Parts: sequence; structure tokens; C-alpha cells
Amino acid sequence: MNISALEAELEKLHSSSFGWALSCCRRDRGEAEEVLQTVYLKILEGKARFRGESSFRTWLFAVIYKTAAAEQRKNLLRKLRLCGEPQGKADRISPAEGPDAAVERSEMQIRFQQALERLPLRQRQTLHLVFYQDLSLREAADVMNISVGSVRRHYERGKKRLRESLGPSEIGYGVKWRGEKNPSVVS
Amino acid sequence: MALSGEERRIRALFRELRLEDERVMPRFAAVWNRAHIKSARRKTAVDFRMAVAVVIVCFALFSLAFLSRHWQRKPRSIDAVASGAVKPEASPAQIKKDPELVQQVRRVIRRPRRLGFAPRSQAAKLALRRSTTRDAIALSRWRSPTATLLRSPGDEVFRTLPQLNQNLHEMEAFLPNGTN
Repeated sequence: MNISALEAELEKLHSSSFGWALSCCRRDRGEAEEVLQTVYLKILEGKARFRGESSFRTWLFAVIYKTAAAEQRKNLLRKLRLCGEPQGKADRISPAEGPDAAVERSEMQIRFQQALERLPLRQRQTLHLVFYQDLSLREAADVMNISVGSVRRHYERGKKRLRESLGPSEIGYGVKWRGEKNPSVVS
Repeated sequence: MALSGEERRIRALFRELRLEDERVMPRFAAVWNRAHIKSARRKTAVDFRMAVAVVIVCFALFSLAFLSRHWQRKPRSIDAVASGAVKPEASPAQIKKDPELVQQVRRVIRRPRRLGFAPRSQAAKLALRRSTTRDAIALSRWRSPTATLLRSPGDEVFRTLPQLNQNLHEMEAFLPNGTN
């Protein structure tokens, strides 16, 4: 794949890539941008090469996943060296977010993001890949380099925990969260 | 995959999240260009580092070659002695005075340059061994100037032994004055 074709593909997937990078970086926008830039750099320098063993999107997401993990390790080491205090959760959620954007967000969305924050990393990432990126469980397993069985387990547990976290808000939102299905509300 | 109501609800929430993310998403061109610039900078840095490394290695090699030559000069005078071109007792001042000796020494000094490191070191060892042997012989032959003062007329008697089958007359010859 030549560089212009690669650029076109990357541009097409840019928003999805950024979303996935955000998820891998615990919704830290600055870090996600840094990770995405590092991924593009890796691709430009030929350190990450697409060999056609999977779909381009799966491959790209796997590169982002690994790069984000490496960046997190680096940041952790840096923090340990500096002996600085760890950042608060409030800073991590969305540092670039202005007050207007926060107001615009629905209460349900805020609760949802808080619930996501509380989920273990793997469960959150699995749910993100399945619901946000519309990947199948097999593709999600390829991205995270784990077995399909593990992904299924993370998926089920993640859903359960999310349901438990969002449970009290269902009345206010007008959705029958537990119990019977109600597709018309969400379509 | 057929989605249950719960899954559809989660998907809708994620869709909302996606829209929110797209609002804060940086432009592709900006991120891509920054990666390009960083890549170019890294290449330049790598080239510069490579150039510095090459210069250091060259300098190290040249200095090593120079020092090895400098060290090789000392045993060459021993080579000259070993090959017999110069006598061991000849001092550098004497060599300088004698033009023939100077020529011989020069010839001997030039020769090992073509041989390389191993023959030179062997020749140096051989020369050292020879000079040590010569010194040892010279030391064993050395006599003190006052050694003659220690000689006496009865030295011969002390150095030889009388034989049992010799007759009396011959035995008497051992006596200093012929009488006891």
C-alpha cells in the first residue's frame, strides 16, 4: 500500500481512530492526540506495517491499542520518577472540555461516562469496540490480542456492570432499562 | 447480530458519545502533518548522530594506528642488534657517527614495516633473547683486575689430585721444594 492510499484510508478512519484512542487513554484528549500522532509516525517510518492479515481497521486499532499501552507505561514511569501526585479523575475525563460543552451534555450521558470510567479497562474497551466501533467480538479479540472467549466474558461483565450503574437513572430517562426490550425508544 | 433492547440502549449512548468526541476531534491533516514533521526531524537527528559516530570511530582508528606505530619504534633498535647490523655495545652516538652503520640500521628499520605486527613482535622477542645470552656470556667471562693478586705458587697442588698408581718420585714432584 503506497503512502497516498494509506493516507486516504487513515483519513477515512480518523474519527473512529480518535474515539478508540480516547477510550484507550481514559478519555484524555491530549494524550489521545499524542497517541494518534505516534501511530501515524510509526506508519510513516514503517515501524507499523499493514500486511493484510486482517482488515485495515482492525490492524489500525491494534496499533493504537499497543501504542496507547506503551504511552501509559511511559507516563507512569515518568510520574514515578518525578514522585508527583497522580492526576484526579476530573482532569482525566475531558481536560479540553469547556463549560458550555459540559452543560450541553445530557445528564444521562454524564452518568453513562461516569459509569464507563468505573468499568475495568478491558471491559470498557470491549464495550467501546462493539458498540462504538461496531466491531464483532472476533474483531475486538484481534484488536486487543486476546481470545474470543475472554472478549465475550469482558463484554458480558461490562454490560452487567453498566446496567447496574445506570439502573437508578432509567425512570428519569424514560427507558425500561431492566426487563423487557424497548427498541422504539432508542432507534 | 440481533441486539436486545439493552444493547440498543448502550449503542445509542455510545453514538451520543461519538458525536461528542467528533466535536473535540483534531483535524486529520494537522495530526498527519505533525507526524510528518516529527519523522523528518528524527531522520535528520539520526543522520547527525551517524555522522558524529563515524567521525569518532575514524578518530579512534587513526589514533590507534599512530600509537601502535609509535610503540613499534622502540623494539626496532633491538631488531637491528638481532640481525647483526649493529653491535650490542654500539651506542646511538656511535651509530650516528658511522655512515655505514647508519645505512645498515636504516635498512633493518625499514624491513619490518612491510612484515606487519606478528613478525615484528617475534623478531623483537628473538633479539631480546639473543642479547640476554650475550650478556650472560660476557658476565661469565668477566674477570676482576685484582684476580692475579689471589694467585699463589701452591695453586697447582690444590687444583690437581695425586694418582695412586704414580711412583714416589712423581709424587715428590707435588712437594714444593722436593723435601718435606
